[in-house]
Amino acid sequence: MLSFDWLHMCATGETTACVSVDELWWIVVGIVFLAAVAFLARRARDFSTATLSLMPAAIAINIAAGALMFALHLPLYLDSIGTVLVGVLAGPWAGAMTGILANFIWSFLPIPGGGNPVSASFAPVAGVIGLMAGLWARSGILRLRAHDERTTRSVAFATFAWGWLVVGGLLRLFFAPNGYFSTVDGSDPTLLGGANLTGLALADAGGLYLTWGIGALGGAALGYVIYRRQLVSLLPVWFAGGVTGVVAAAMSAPIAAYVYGGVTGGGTDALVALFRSAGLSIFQASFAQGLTSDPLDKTISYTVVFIILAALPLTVKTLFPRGDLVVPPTP
Amino acid sequence: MEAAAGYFRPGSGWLHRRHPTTKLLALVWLLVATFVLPPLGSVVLIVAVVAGAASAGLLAPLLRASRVGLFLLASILVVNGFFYPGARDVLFGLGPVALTREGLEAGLTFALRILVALEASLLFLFTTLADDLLEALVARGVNPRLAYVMLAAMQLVPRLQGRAAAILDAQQARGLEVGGSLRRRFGALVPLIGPLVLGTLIDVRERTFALEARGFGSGLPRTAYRIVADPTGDRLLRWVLVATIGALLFYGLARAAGAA
Repeated sequence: MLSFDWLHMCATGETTACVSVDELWWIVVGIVFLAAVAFLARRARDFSTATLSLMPAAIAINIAAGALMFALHLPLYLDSIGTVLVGVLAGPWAGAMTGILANFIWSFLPIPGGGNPVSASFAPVAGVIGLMAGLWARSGILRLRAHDERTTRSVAFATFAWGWLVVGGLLRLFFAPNGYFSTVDGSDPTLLGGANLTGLALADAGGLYLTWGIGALGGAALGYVIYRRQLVSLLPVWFAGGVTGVVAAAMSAPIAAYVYGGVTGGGTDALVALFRSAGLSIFQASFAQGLTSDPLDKTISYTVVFIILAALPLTVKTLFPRGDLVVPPTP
Repeated sequence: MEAAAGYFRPGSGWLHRRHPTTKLLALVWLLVATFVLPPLGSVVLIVAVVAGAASAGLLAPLLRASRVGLFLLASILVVNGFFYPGARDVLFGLGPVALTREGLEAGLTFALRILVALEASLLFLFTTLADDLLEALVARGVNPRLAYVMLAAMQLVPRLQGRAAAILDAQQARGLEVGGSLRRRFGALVPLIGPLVLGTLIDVRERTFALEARGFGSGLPRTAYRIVADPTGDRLLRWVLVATIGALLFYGLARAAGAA
């Protein structure tokens, strides 16, 4: 009995069998991903021999570190160190290819985290992480710089100022009853899943001064650490890692929620269970878990890559097409 | 080469004799089927996969290797069983949380699907030599450069494990303490991971020169060293599998639309 009655878009309020917008979206996303993989496979013909022999090593590092984290049940992944490394040394397309292949190969290996399709279904996220790593590197954030006393002092002062301003002023500007995001107060259940953010505004004057004080102290402490330990060249690395983490969280939340019900078997499941018992829906809990784990995870990964690049011999770095972007500029 | 074998179990059963692309298609077929068919279908698929393993004499290694998925399966059951949103039919309460019927049913469905995927991919790895698979894929028009990346990556993972063990021995011989408090164990990670990652990356340079010296980047057509047997039955089986995957996808779409 083959009937094609269901093969039309759902009209509003329609209850009979039909194709809903959500299902169409998933099909479109799948087709776009397949097209992207086909495009990448064509690009692979242009990769140099050095890039092609770096990719297996990067994939193996990804899988080994990821499997270790998985086996230890830590709420981190660390399965994108190799992806970021290839993205930085060999360009965004090679990075994306490395991420996608690593997640697929991990799925097939009988090691912790492997042997099931969970890792492969997050391949699009890994691809975007590699792509972003290549683009960040193009802007020169991972280039080792000679130390400059004045830059360090300026960044340390800026950290203090931001700690004071952001924590106190911006929170109120955004979330106070007359602030930019004051409509997000839980009255409309469709907006951000009915989240209420007005509590972030810290209404009373005493609380505001207290936050300003804490923000200033925190900013001053961080600024002092930066000034003393000369971490200035790491700050852009952390910024890139944090932004990549937020993008990764936004991409992986729908996959984790709709394909696996939020459960992926790693140490992050404890976080998902925690957020769910706090009353969040599956999607909200997955996204909240991603926002907790991913920025930290990607920041650590970018830092590790920065340290690896600092330790690699010059003759290895300059073997790759983008190697000149990570060596110090010649005066 | 010990490491090159990877997870392959040598043998001559009927599963070993199938063409690698046939087995790859069968794996895709099983993955599609388990996510498309109702939960009872997954039970049938698991029984079929296990029966296939038993008839090829691989039951014991399959069950032994299945333990990598145990934590995921347990995790799926617990999180869904206790924290399923909107579930009302409580089976029994346990302090602040309660085991619900809706949650347990959803968890069991997920777990069954993951179990099918796990057993099928393990059986595929056990019966297919990676070299044969990639030779077969290159013969079907897959980019040989990509095929090299995949094969080398799959062989590097077990080799990396062996290398880590060697570095651990070497550092312990130099007086590195790996036991003791949590802080000391984390401290011991640096002299282990540093040489492992940097050594692997420095090897990349040697491998690049070796590949260049053998004409890897020449782009000229290449001849095959291994010939993979492809019986007529396999070719027929592949057509059947492709046709039924299409039918399964169509059935799944109809079912999803009907449920909405």
